[in-house]
Amino acid sequence: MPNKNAVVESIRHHLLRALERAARTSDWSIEVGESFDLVRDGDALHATWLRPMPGRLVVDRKTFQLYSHSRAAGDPAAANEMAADRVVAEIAAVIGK
Amino acid sequence: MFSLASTRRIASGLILHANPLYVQFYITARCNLTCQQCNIIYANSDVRECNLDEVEQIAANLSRIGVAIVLLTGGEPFVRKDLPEIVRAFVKHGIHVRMQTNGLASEEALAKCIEYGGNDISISLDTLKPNLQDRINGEVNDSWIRAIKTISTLTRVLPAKTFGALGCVLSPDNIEDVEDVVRFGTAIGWYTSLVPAHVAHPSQPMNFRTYDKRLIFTPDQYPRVATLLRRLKRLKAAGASLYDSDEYLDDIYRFITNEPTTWRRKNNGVCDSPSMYFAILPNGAWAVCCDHRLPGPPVPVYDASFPEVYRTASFKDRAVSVAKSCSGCMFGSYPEITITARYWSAMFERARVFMRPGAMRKEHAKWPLSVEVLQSIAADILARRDAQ
Repeated sequence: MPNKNAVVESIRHHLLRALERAARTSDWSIEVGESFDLVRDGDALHATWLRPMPGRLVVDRKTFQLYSHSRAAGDPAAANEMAADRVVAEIAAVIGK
Repeated sequence: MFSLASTRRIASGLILHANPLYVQFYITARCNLTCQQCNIIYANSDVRECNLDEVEQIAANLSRIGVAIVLLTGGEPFVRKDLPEIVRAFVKHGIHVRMQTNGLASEEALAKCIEYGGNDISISLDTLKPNLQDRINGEVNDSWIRAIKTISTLTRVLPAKTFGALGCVLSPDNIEDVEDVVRFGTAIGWYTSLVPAHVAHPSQPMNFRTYDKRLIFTPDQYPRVATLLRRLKRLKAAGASLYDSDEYLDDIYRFITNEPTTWRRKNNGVCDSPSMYFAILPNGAWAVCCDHRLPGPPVPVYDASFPEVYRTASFKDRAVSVAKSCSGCMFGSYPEITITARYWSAMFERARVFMRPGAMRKEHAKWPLSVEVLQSIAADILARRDAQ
């Protein structure tokens, strides 16, 4: 049982949520979500997926304002949701959707 | 244990379904553990935390709509330095406060919360084996013994008419240990409440459910689950302090084996959010439950207009549409409240737990319990099981 990395798990959840939102209008994001992984290397998060075709994208950890870690000023909820949607749009571009 | 105001609200909520009984307030997403079955600390990492003024307003608004009980949870609620003041805000408004901790709460904070009116606490304990608990908690050394120390502290500082409960998450890792936890709770005068680990599929994320597939029971483990639940029912019938109703325990088996659960059948297959229970996010936004936020514009519970908004048909429709789309959960309190409110046998069983004065007096008479005594009780239970 490996110790979970809170930053990775938080961003993973927000990205899976964004992929779920994208799935309301297209099917490709379901496959990305099902085969999705995220690995942290400092401030860089390496997102990989296997379907509908293998791909990868580097996400800057600072794209997200995780209040539980950085206590950002104000409420970052909406900004985090938009940030996740932007990352999913980049994933779509990588796989040509 | 309940004040007159809370008792009145519980009665009208349960019998007349006239007011929400129970609210889970996720006051923080911060936590000093990374337990394998929990995802809420990650899901709620994207929102800020309410300040104390907003908490005061939330307490006032919940009181206006007749809420009986608030669970202060997280994350680990005790990481908030202002937790005692948060407890006081709800108590001041006649709302019964249940506190939750992973066991790492400080003695000072516990004592202060109790002084400010908290007399109901739930502490996480999944096994009597220290190494296994530390592993479940995310490889955090000494987390089991620290939880035992916290229980010891509570037996010293909790007033006589209190309710202590052990929150135990059933997973393939501790299936052989759950009965021990119930025996331990019974020996020290605490109830145990069981929740099966919930696992989400990555294409259908839910806020509380982990993505850790290792926590899914495999079909070859189903008979062991059935045996455990049968033994727990027998233990309860013999007087063990297991909080869960038989209907709930039966549904745990259905849930684990991927059969449809039955606790929502008296409400057309939908849970009772928002009418009997709901959740609040750390930033004060209203949520259907721990798994589902409200889509669309957030509804801040601290807003002065919240009581009016809550009573509108359009708000209820928004919430129910989310609840209707949910496949169902077994998150302890939500099913148990529905079962208690809609099944007479469960209502009487619950009334026996809370209304019987001094039901746990025999065990409480032994309080305070030192850490050494608690360790020795745990060791005896493990030794007796090994001897069987």
